[in-house]
Amino acid sequence: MAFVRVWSVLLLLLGASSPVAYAQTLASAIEDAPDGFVRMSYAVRDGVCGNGENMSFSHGRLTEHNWECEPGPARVTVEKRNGIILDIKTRVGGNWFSDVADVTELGEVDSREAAQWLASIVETGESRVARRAIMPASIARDSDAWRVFLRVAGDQNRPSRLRRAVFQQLGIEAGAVELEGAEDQRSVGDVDARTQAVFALSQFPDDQSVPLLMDVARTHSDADLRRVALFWLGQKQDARVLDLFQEVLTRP
Amino acid sequence: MNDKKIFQVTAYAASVVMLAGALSPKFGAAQSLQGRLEQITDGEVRMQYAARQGVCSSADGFRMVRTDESDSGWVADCRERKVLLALTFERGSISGFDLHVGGSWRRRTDVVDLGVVGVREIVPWLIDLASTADGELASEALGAAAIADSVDIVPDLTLIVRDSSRPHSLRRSAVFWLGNIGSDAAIPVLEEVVRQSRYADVAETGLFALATHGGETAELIVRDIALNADGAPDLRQHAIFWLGQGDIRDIEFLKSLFYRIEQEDLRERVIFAVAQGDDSAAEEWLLGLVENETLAMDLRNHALFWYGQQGSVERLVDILESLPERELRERAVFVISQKRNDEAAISALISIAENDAEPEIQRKAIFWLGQMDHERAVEYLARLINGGA
Repeated sequence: MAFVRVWSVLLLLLGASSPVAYAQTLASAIEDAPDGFVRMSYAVRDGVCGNGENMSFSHGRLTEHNWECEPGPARVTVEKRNGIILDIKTRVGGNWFSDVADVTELGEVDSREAAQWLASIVETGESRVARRAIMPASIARDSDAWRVFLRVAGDQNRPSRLRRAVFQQLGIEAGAVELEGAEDQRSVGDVDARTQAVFALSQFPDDQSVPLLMDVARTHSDADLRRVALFWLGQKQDARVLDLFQEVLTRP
Repeated sequence: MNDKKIFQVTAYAASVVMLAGALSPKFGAAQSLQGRLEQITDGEVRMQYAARQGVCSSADGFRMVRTDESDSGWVADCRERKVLLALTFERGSISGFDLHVGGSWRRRTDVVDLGVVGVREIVPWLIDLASTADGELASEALGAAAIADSVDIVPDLTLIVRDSSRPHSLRRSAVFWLGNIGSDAAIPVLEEVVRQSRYADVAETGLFALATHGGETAELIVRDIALNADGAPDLRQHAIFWLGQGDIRDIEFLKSLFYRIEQEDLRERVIFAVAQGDDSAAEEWLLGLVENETLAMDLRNHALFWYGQQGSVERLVDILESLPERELRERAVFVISQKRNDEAAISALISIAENDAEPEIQRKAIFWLGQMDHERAVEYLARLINGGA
């Protein structure tokens, strides 16, 4: 199925053959690169595709597009000035722009290493750059950036906008786990009304809605409703939800 | 009023240079108000004069009322028909203008209290101040003159309104007061303003003034503006608005106007204007529009929205159940949801969510239940999610 995680030895081998792998770590390669643009590409998880301009993310569902959606790679450009990371731009599929000056090409890198480096930016970087690192970290194949996201979400010292974005990402990723292998369990008929009801419930104040949504996320028989509940819990930025996210994301 | 009171100046004030003029021998009873005020360069001067009928004290200053009691049951305090005015002078110019109706000043020793002054003295002085002062002070002076008792200031206000060399804000202020003083002599001037002013805001203030003035003649003019197909659309919108308000509210005319105009935005204004009352005739007419299949959907939607501001939940549910059009049915669900803390509205939305034949309407009801902030809504949603609803 499209959403099954592929632990690809091949990709690891490809990563090992990249220009940076033998000589130095990805982090030090980026750190050592001169000012300008550092470019790298890496494999993305199933359900992520793009054409260089548009991106599509789906978790556990096949999505039809009326445009050619290539299943990767992620193309990440890190902008450096005076040794400081100013911006991180991400595209999926397509080709690199050829008319860019001051480029350091890292080529194709290991997706897990890319995710780890990007997650480290989420954890320690300046708020805006950290927010820009969330998406590329999460779409990397075999990424476990969510472990870092959990720490950041619970860290009161990190900027609130960043924590809000991380909460949202955790809600999405936890919801994706719920859908793995769940297609056959989906009920039909009144599911749309129930989905709407979960959203409606999320609109109530946190004291009322969070316990009820957590209950739905933990116990409901419909995987899609559990996913929707997790998604809306991700919008809440409520510390009670973090244990639930961890519980779902570490589920064997 | 004795001279001692008029010239109540304290030893403290004597140390202030600005009151030197007030303390001089020539500042006597025989001197005109203007003469006395001209001698003051610095400090505060208080005075009192008679207010015209209908000028009543209120928490935020004063208001003009036609009757002592408003619809809300609030009773205006119109017993003390007196205006209290304090002027602050700095280097011969007025820097403060503090006006109240009724009440009394807190006693202070560092002001000049002129006591009661005659309206025939103070009004010309205030009109003159309005003509020479700038901005807000000029408008305040005009208002202070307009609320004085027993003085016909329509000629003065008319001169200001017609004089294009006067500041725009002052002319608009004069229009405003022409409507408020309730003199029939003001109506032709206001009509002239509404029909001929080059400035939309002045013409709109004229309409407001006519509506405030009230009476048959004023209403006929406002009606004519609303009907005039060649008139400026914005002005017509304002005319329609005022025909839905207060003294010149005329539902029957508005209802007939609806079918005599073609522009949809003006027709929406008519619907709004009719809906401003809480009379059952207005409600029934709005319902008729909702059900009228020959009307544009936007107008029917508009009528339903405004009906919903007054109509009962039960009637709204009837509408929902009887109408075939999805758009109107969705609007009906929304309108029900706007009756926020109404138990009947919660019950109706739950019933729609459970029983309506259209899933889209059910989903709308569920959506709006999420916006209701009501325990029964939470309970119902939890039940629905868990399959028990």
